[in-house]
Amino acid sequence: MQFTSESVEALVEQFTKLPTIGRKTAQRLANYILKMDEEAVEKIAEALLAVKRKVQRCSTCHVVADRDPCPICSDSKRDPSTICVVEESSDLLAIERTGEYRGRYHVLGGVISPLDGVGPDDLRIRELARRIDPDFASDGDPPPLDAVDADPDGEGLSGGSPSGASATTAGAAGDPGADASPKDASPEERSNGADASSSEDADEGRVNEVILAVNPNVEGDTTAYYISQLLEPFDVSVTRIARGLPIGGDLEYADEATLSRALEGRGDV
Amino acid sequence: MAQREIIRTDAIVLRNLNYGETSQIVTLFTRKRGKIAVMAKGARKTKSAFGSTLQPMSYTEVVFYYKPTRTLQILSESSHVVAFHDLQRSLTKITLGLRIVELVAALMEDEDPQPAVFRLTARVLRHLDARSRRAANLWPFMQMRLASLLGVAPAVRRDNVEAVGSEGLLSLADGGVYPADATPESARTASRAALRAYAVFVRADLSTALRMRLSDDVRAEVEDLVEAFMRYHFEDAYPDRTRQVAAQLRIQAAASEST
Ligand SMILES: [Zn+2]
Repeated sequence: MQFTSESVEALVEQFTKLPTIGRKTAQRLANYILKMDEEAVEKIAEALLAVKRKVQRCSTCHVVADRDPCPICSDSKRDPSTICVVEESSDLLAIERTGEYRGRYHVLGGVISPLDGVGPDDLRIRELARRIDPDFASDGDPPPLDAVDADPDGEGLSGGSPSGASATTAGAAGDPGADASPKDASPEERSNGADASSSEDADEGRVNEVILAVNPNVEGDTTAYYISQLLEPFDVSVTRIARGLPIGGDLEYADEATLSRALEGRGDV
Repeated sequence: MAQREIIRTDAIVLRNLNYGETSQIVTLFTRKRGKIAVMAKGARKTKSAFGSTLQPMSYTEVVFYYKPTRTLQILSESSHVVAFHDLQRSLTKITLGLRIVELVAALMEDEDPQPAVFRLTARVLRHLDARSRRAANLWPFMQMRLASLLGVAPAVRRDNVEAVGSEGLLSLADGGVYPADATPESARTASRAALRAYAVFVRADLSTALRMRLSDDVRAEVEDLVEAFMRYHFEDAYPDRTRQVAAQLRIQAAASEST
């Protein structure tokens, strides 16, 4: 069915760009909007623009928030020595709902998915390593650092954007950068000079545990193995929740009790 | 005449894509019906009866209602035939396994049963799960066998392989190995060691292929040869995503395995 109005057709067209919305659903939504009163539609339009204009990402944990640093990172009662690594901001909310977790977070912005062409360079994995050790990857090549930080806004809210096409180019371009990063940050080099000067800072912001709260599926496993290997040279314990969670299930849909148990019963990767 | 039919068959899971709130669209390579996409309703719920059976690389028995008029069949049951526990415990194995299912997904036509390809895939994945030493040999082996089953069997002659000096040629056109002074079509130069290994992957059975020890250099060269041959014949259908990600992951995997 084709609408006779061009503006309705244009709206349908826009809706189909959203995930999981097919043409039929888009037409249903457009029809519904057509029947709503103008004030209600304005509210939707404003809300849409507001998330784009006001919401940013916390520059530390990369969660979607109205301010930077986000409320969790700026809360001195939250334990900075524990970082819980999640795929998306929605997973962070799921864990917050349990009320059990008192540490900080790190939002990866996705998960390593070889079949989709999404690799570690497309995610905020190097940013995570730098929270463990600020020197990570910084001795080698400054360019990759800049390259990663240059587009937080662009990549920001589109969230799951590393689709096949964009990831492919990023992967190819990021190759030399990836090469320069992990090996250079060996523990010996760290303890050489930097230790004395930054020891107070280091103690205060020291991370003792990284809890991987990635989904229990092939992509989650891949991500967990990669991160735990990447962090192996550092003096930090890397654990993973969700061993008790059923494989294939999404963390987001786990009830609070299950998630609390999984968090408590975290174990080696 | 859109009659419904209940299909029960073994399947290898090639891919799954999240759909809607909790469902997944799963691409299966089934023994009876070839590659087919099914809708698995509620698969991402933590209490889903599908459990871990719909993860890529899983070897499962599925039941679905087949309706020829539908592009997406509805999956009703799935249970492990063999649960590949070890396959999912190493980065190297996961990436190898994903490359295998990615290749099968790319080269199989929809609803074109290929029982021999199914047996090959299931067998290679079983071996990948069961062993850790030289598991990487499964990758070139799989590709050459798949090529043969799909009608592009490499024509490797033993006398030609033996005639190769320190360097020789691989003809991408016929997949044959030739001495350096021959002039086969679309030839690529390669070392003697790589060409001999290539010939083993083409001709030997799986257990022989798995016994072959390759240095890193020779392995890389053989993989390049096999890939060039596959690309020559399957062109853009030959997939590339997992290879690119594997290259990013490899630095880590290699580092951890050497210690
Ligand atoms: Zn934050």
